[in-house]
Amino acid sequence: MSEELLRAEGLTKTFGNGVRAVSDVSLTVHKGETLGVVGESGCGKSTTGKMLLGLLSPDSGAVTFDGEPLAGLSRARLRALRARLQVVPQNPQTSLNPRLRVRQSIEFNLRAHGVERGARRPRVLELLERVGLTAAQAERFPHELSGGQLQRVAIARALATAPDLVVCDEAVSALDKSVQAQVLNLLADLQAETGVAFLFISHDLAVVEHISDRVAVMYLGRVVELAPARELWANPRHPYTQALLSATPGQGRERIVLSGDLPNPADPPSGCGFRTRCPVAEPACTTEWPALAEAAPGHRAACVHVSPVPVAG
Amino acid sequence: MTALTEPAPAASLPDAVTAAAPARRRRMTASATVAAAVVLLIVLTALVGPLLAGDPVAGDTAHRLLPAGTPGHLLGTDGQGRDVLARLVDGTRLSLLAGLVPVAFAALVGTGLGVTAGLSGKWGQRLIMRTLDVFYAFPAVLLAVAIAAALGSGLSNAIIALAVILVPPVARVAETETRRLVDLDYMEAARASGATRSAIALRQVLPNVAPPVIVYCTALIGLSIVYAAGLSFLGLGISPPTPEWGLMVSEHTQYIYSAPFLAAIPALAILVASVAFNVLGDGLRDLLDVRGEARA
Amino acid sequence: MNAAVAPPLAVEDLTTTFVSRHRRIEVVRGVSFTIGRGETMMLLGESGSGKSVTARSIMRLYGSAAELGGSVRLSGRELTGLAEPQLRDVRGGQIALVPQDPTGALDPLRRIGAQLAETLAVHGVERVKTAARRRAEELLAMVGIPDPKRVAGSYPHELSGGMRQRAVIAIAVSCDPQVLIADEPTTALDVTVQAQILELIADLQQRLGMAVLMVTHDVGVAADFGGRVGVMYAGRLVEEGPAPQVLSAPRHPYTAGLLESLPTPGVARGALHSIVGAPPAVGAFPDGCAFAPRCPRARPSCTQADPPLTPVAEGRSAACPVVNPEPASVVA
Repeated sequence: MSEELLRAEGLTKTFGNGVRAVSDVSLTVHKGETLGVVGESGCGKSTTGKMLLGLLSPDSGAVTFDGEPLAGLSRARLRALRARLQVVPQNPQTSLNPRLRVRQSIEFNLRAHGVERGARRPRVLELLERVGLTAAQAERFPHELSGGQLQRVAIARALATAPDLVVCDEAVSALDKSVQAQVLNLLADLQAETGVAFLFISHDLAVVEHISDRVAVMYLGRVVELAPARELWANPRHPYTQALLSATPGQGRERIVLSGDLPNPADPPSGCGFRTRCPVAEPACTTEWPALAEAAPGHRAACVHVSPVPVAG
Repeated sequence: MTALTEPAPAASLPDAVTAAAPARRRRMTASATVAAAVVLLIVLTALVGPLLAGDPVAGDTAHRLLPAGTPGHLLGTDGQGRDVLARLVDGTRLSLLAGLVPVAFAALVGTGLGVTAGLSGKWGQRLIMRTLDVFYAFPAVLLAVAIAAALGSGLSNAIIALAVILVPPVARVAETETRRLVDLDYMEAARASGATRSAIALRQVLPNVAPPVIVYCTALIGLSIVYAAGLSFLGLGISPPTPEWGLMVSEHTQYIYSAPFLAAIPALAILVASVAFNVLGDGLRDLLDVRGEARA
Repeated sequence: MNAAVAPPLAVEDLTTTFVSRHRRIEVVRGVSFTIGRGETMMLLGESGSGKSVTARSIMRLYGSAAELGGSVRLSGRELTGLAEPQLRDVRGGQIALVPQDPTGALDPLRRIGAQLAETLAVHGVERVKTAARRRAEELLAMVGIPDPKRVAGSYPHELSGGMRQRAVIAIAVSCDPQVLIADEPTTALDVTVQAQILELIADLQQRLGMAVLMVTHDVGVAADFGGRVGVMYAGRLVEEGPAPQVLSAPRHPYTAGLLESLPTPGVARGALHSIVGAPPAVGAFPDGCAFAPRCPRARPSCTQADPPLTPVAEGRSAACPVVNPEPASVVA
């Protein structure tokens, strides 16, 4: 894999209400790759995304973007860095300011990074054209566009400052499937063209598998499995990933139906957080949450049933 | 009762229908249109009325308390023989001024404070809003009277007093609206854009906060006119002989037995102006679609 | 009336038109299907296809907001023209709804058990309070709630989304309905919980012999749940048939395009098949075949007339003249 772009180490975040949203999450994103983060609601994937964007500071742990730790940066330096670190939000209906025209929404980002007034409009039109929208649509308000068009605008806005990394937080989840496919193709094309890296957060394993190079599976605030996308799909090692895959409808896999619900994140079970629903839990699972262990080259899982391959060094 | 067994017979249109229907042409209701016309009339009266009506100050004690309908004195004369219509028309200017200026000031300062509070962290927000809450602890009118009394009578002091009491409610509206926005996706995208806080406040938040503040402030103009009249009535506003509606009510009440309808004339003007601004505010609410299109 | 022979649900040429002061919006434009006892019909479609409105129109939930046309027969009994009090009896009694959002379906201020007992009382199933309470707990146990006593005494907010949806299902099946309408019953739930709920509905269907009408936007859910599937587009059924066949060998170009646009393993990144454009907005359906503007196989004649649903194989039909060369010969 190519050069490292973003590194998160030991991220932990507990909210005021005692909910530990994220525990000890370590991830790296390389230049030009797509790292998928998949998990169900409350697994901490969005909170992780916000910490990687520097919008939320972790209680402990650190995020390093291209060698610079975000925590130590001055406000001005962080603002400048944001040109390279962008976001495409989830909900098309709220990802754009309803009171601003499409052009104004994109110009806002250009202005923030000192693009001259005269240069903004041509750049906006160029971006819109790239995401498949017309110059006429630049003057529209968000309520005049469809969901797919709105997400295209959000993508154009994120790309306005030629970022190195874009965090897509459930960016296609609200779209109809026939439109979702268009937006996924667009993201892939843009990546091939510009070399931008994506952190692709979604609850939809099929979408994540399709768009990602590597996938991190999260459960109850932790990464439980991390593997190349194809490898994870073909050979999931963590029992949760296996259940999640089998529950993804229409796969024709033998269904592993998990009993019960997600534990309350404010009051997680002792030991491994998945043990209360795990079909292969054993007494040893109550003592501690297993660390990620290498199950195969580049494939790591946090489960006592995964026999760790001794790691050199 | 569960929705399963007893569904509302007239269920509202499904989201798909309302969302897909082309943006409804926004129109003001008939009552709002009438209110707008009345407001326009008041403004025109304030601007050009004094040129048309007679001298509001010159009185002829020989013709005191003439009844309405007297030739040359359409609304009669007051206790000093001054033409009531001329005074009413001339008073429009100051009454309107006392309505508009405090509200304009409160709109600017209140929005600034409210947006700042809404965008600051817990402590900044508490500091600003709790300070403003102190003003809420007193009845607004009483507070205005106290401030005006402390500053001394006069138009400018009355305006200052009103401006002070109107800032907290405007700030509250602006803060509430700002808070609603803070967690929305586009605000997060704005923070992630690298824009400065002031750019976010000015270009992302203000376009959303302005419409509800405008609506609210339009209604406040009516209130401000009433309060200003109240201050004048108590002798804390305009000093005689300059005509102003509140002052006129105050002067006319001495003749409540000899000319009972005299006091009703300026009082009615105050009522009409205040209701007109209120109804116009409601109309603007529909026109500006203050419910927030983000949820459309 | 021979309820023994009549299917639990027969929908014929159903139309739904929303009327407001300024305009009329056709949302459902002539949908017909029947569901037999213990059988399933999946209505599959994207936003604006009219699938949810079809389900709600069958229950006549729109009141005066919509004009309904065509006929809906419940075990032979015509619902068209029934007055609201009679409809209230039918709803929740013979035909029950499981909505997408369980939170909205439950009264936040009352305990689950009381809400269940009330439904039983309203429909005259169990009027004695203590018996109703007991029956409520039985129902909660039947929908797989591990400790029904505790859940019966809980308020909705004390339960997880999956548990709430189970409680809603318990209420829906409490009066032993002939037809269960499930409108995106798992969309608000997490994937692992979704699987449980689908399994529960299938299990209850088998035990109670209900006809199930399920509305979904998720091709995977349709494939997994099985039964028959009706693919909706712009307020019409464009294809209908057994789910495994329709979803493995679609005949209508829209169904085919929808299936191909799903991300599946092995499709190279950026090479997903996609249908051009977006589904038409409600109220702006194109003339002729509504799919023609997006259809890769459209012919000039497609924009002229809206093709009817026509048999294309044993038990299957599609509304596309391009895939049915001789539409007129087999129209029933």
